[in-house]
Parts: sequence; structure tokens; C-alpha cells
Amino acid sequence: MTTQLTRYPQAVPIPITEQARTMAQQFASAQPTAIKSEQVQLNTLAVFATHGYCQMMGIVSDLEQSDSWNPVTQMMTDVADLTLPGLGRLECRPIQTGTNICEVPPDVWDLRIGYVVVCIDENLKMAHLLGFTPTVGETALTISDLQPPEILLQRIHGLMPLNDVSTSSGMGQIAETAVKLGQWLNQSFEAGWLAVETLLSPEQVSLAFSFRNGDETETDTPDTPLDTSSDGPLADGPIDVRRAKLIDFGLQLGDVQVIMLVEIQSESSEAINIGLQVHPQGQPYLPPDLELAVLETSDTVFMDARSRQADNYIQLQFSGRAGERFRVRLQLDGVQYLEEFVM
Amino acid sequence: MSELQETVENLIAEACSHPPGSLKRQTHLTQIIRLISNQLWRDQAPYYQDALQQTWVYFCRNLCEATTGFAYDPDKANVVTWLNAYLKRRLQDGYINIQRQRATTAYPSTASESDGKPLDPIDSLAAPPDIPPLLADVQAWAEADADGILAGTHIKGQPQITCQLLILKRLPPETPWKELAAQLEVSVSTLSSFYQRQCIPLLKEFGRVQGYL
Repeated sequence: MTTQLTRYPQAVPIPITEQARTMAQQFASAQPTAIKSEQVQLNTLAVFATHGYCQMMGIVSDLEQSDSWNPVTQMMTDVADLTLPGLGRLECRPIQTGTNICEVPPDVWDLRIGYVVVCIDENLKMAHLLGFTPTVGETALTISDLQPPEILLQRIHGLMPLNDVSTSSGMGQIAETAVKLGQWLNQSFEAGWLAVETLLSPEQVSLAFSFRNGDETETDTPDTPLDTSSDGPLADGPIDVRRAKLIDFGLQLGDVQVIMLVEIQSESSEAINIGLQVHPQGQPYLPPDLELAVLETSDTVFMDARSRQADNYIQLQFSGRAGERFRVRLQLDGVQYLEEFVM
Repeated sequence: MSELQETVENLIAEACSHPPGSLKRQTHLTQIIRLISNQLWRDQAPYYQDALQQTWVYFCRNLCEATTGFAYDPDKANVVTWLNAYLKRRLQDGYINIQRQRATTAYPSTASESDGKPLDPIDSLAAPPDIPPLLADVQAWAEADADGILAGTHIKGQPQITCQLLILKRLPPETPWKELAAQLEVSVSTLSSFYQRQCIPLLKEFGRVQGYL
């Protein structure tokens, strides 16, 4: 391995544990062809090595929540992902000693927070993290063009919330960091923004938006779209993402909690459709006179909605362009909650 | 003090001036690992990599503050000496574990044991059946498509490009994406994006229901 190290001075050595070798062997032996077996073995070792690095750094990673751990996805895709809970999936592409190029299969061109290239020793005992890149295109990666593994750390920290405001959103506070909706398209979400099903009841979920026209089956969109105000047929592969957050009006107003739901849809053009809804938490109806408003950067109200006596939810829908900022304000009895978003 | 040692001591001081878990702490730890890894004790024991991994975790947890052991004290020893002492203790643990396994495991009296090499327990596992059932199961499920969801899920405006078609084409030995894209006259990225977002979730659901995970 000395040659490898001198050729790639930025490489970080990571031991391959016996457990990693055993699992890789076990996964490989379940594959139907020799090519798939070798692919799955190397993918598993690369994922384990990256998991080992995360373990050293104290970064939480979850092997079992990764497609690379799942026998069905192992067989049906060329996947070496490692799930970093709450942040997204990191792809860990294996290469073997003596290679300068890393092919990235189309199977993993998106839905990733980044790509780390891992060199696996011939004797399968040592791995080296060679470098990192946040995105890939159709061309293979050249190892010498990669950023050093430290940039992976930067990427991970960039996805973490700067403070805990968003997990305990008190009224009157302004979250210091804007929620980056662009990152949502890569399946990375700020703390506090949870899968819709974890916060909303199935009945509430069924009221959620659908921008789609409905002729394409979508596994996570309800069959009963309430409002399809989107215009015309959509381009290939529009992406729909939605998340919900518990907003606690606790201290000032007794025990009032509501759930804010944000759904975004990115078309292949730069336009992003945004849907906002507010649902009651633990009550059949929203408190009356709750205001949901979208503010422009100048703080002027761009649009708003207000709950009446027995509303089970209120909503707003609009569209914008990548990079635009806006704020969402929830106001009840003169107390307000603000959250900033960037598209 | 050698130049390298001085660089390492400076990096340690720098790392420890930032809180645990911070980007700067992690960045400096990574740099130190890269610099000193060549100087750690090496041997050929089968459990060496496990001992080494434990050593790096110990290093990261205890370099600046005592988290799982005693914190590193630069006045007592340099960092490599400190880590080698820990690594050798883990290697001893590995050796003792192997002895215990030998004492409690009956091996066939073959040449390999008299060579002093323990048998790899994995080698003695029953060989898996020739054709893993997974392939046949996925194929049967995709062909039958009992609820019609695989044939009904297609690329927008391309009703002929369905999850059923792609899953059957991607069963190993799989048709390469480039070839599929040319056959179906769409781009590779359109195909793979659709496959990732629409078909993989269906496959995973099938796997879950079948108890593969």
C-alpha cells in the first residue's frame, strides 16, 4: 500500500474489519452471477470502510438503512450507499489498487449527498479513502481530480443544522439558518423536518398536495389529490418532496401545537412549485384566526391565509426559482413564528 | 523532536482547541491519522485490522479528553507510543479470543491446524445453493405483476417504458444502461432516474414483504 499512499497523498487509511469481510462475502455469495458477486463484495467493503471512518469521527451512519445492505437492491442496482440519518445518503464507490479512474454507474447518479472513492487493497484488509466529490456527471471520476476526504467532513457539517432552534421552535424566534429546499431534492433535510407520515395522521396525509397530474404512479403521493393547480403536463421526472415540522406555540399560549407541511416539486426547468399547509396537532381543528403568510425578502406579505372557526387545515401554493429566498410566518394572538427558506 | 513529530504535536494541539464533533476537530484528527498511520505497529494476525480500527476509534475519543479511557498525555509518551501500547493490548485480546475458540471448537485433524493456522470458520459453512432463490423470486414477481403496478408505472409520456420492463431487463445478467437507453430511445439519465425513484421503491417493498430484509 505504500505506493498507493505516495501516489495519493490525501488518502486516509481505514482498516477493513473481519465483520466487514464476512458480510461482504455473505452478500456476495447470494448473487446470481460472478460479476454481481464481485461488485457486491467490493461495494460492501467500501461502505464498511466509510462507516468505519464515520465511527472514528463520531458521525452517525446506519448500514442497515442503506440500499447497499438490502439483498434485493444489491442484486437489482450497483449501489454502495451509506445512510447518514437525517442528512442523506453518501455513495462509497470502490476501486482497486492501481486504478486511476472510478466509474460511477447510472444507478447512483442522483439522490446522494456526495461520493467518496474508496480504494480496496488486493488482500481485502485495508481501504483508503481517496477523495470526495459532491456531485457526479456522466463521465468517470479521475482520482487526482477529487477533493481530499476532509471536504466530505465539510459537506456533512454543511448539512447539519447550525443550532437547535429548529428542533424546539419556540414562538417569536427566527431560525438563524434558512431551510435549504434545494437540498431536499437530494434527500437531505434539516433537523426537525420529518417524514410527513411521522407527524400527520393518514387522514391528514390524504389532504396533502399533489402537483402531479395523476397518470404516473407515485408511491409516496396519496391517491386523492386535493388540489392540482399545477399547469399542463410536466417534464420527465419531476421530483416531489415533502416534509413536516412540529411547531410548538407552547410557552405563550398553553399547549398549542400545529404541524407545518412543506411540499416542493422541481420540474426540469428552474421553476420550483411550493405548497404550504398547516394542520392541527392533537385537535380536530386549527385554532381560529391563525395566520399563515409568505413574506418576500423585504418582509412584505406576498400571500396569506387565515383559519376560520372550524378549519382542519389552511394552505398556500406558489412557485419560484432556484436561489430565491422567502419567509413563512405563522401568527396567532399576536405571537409569531418565522422560518426562512431558500429554494 | 523530529519534524514530523513536531507537525503532529501541533496538529494535536490544534485539534484539541476545538470541541469534540466539530468540523475542525474532525479535520485535524483526519490529518493526524494520515500522518502517523505508517508508524503504527504492524503484524499479520488475522484480527490485526479489528485491533487497528479499535485503536483509531480510541485515538479519536481520547486524544483530547478522557472519553473511553485515559486521555493522551504528551508528557508521558508521544502519540505513536501511546497508540502502539493500546494496539498491542487489543492484539493480545485477539490472540486470547482465538485460543479460547480453539479450546472450545473441535477441528478436523487436517494439515491446516498443524501448520499453526486456525481454520477460517467461514470456510466450514455449508456452501450456498447453486442458484440463489432471490433472482427467481424477483423474476417471478415482476413477470406476474399481480396488481398491475409494475406495468402501470411508466415514464411520463412513455407508456411503454415501465418498471416491469426495466426490472426484467436489469435482472442479472443485466442489460447495460447504455444499451437499454439506445433501444428505448431515451437518455441514460432519464432511465436511471426513473428506475431509482419509481422502480427501486417497489422492489424494496417486495423485498420487505418477502422477508429478505
